[in-house]
Amino acid sequence: MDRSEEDEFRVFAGARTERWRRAAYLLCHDWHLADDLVATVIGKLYQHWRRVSTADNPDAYAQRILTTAWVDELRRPWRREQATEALPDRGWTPPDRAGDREQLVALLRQLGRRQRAVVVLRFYFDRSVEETAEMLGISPGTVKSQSARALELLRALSYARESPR
Amino acid sequence: MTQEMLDRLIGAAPPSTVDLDAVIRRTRRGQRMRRIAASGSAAVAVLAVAVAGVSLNGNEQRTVAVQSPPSPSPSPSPLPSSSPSPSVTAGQRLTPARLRAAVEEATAEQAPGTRWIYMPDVPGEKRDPDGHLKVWENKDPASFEGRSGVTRNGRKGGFYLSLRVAPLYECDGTVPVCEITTTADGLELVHYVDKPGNGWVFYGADVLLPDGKHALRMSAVNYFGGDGSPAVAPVPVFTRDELDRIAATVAADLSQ
Repeated sequence: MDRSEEDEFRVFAGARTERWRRAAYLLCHDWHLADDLVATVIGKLYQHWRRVSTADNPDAYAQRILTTAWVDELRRPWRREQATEALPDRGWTPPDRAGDREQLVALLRQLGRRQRAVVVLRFYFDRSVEETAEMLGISPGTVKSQSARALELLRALSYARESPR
Repeated sequence: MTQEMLDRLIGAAPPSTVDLDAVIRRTRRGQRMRRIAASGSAAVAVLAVAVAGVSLNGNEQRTVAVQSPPSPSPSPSPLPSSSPSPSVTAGQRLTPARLRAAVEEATAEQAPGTRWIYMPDVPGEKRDPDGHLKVWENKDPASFEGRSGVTRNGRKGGFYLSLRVAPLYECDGTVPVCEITTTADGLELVHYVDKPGNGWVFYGADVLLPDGKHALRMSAVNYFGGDGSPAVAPVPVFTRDELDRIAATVAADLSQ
């Protein structure tokens, strides 16, 4: 990769890192693991940048890497999901809306990992059913059923937030 | 459901630990190591290709010969990304027409009386004629997809199909039914049922083809139309057993 290609890559990745982190958090609800996933995305994009940069949709390529890297975590026994009781100790002040985030995490935990990947692609990255199916290597029918289930759960959260107490 | 809503729920993120420079350095180091390893093994790769047995087509053999050392798997190598279509049957190139014929024949055999009918997906789209499953080919990565309405005994519903390099459906405990079985031809089949709410019922059958890489996936649903369409029957047109048999029959057909 020459200097200009690398500069182009840095601009591309730099502009999207935060969004990828937040999408990764939706997948794993752990900021440490989310950052690991994003590092994986950046590494793979860098490896294939010449091809990615000329693709019709480099963003879709990156999103595919992120979600498949997450689904692949299923097959690594040393990456079993651990409940995190404490927030990371990095001098970070929890946001005011901690209650919302906890409810979101509790709801996401009810979804399987592939379902969370579907949620991120369909509702966070706004991908179509067909795009999501292709990116995850599953059938459109599976995308529809899994996003329907996720939508029902997330609507319940939205309704609970908006209802008067 | 929008990104905005999800972002509000996530709230503020802690400072990032992602170090772009470090990742780039690590990746460059990995690339250098792989180039060193590959240059020392090129001669071994050529010999390995010569004894690998029948491959799917000539293009694949040429690709394997110039890439880094082949995997130890006895199966033919993964298809090159430049391949225009997946060729999953030894010596025979798969086409949308052939896949469609295989599915329609298997359906006629395993679920007689079924008719294929046009099922709308999005408003304003061109209407396809009744009578056949719609199958199309995707490129980069190479894959096939299909969808159609089906009707039998006065009921109708939807049917979806895909064939691509992918793992089988994973039984992760999130659906009511998920079973792994073996077809009469010794192929792995995952059968699952999902009921995500709103009266929707999904039957799924995934079969891993003999190359160990391509997954044939079929879904039968009890709604008719595009995303979010209401259920039109209590269950899909195909029974669970019928869907499994159709998938197994097509997989056996493609493997010949």
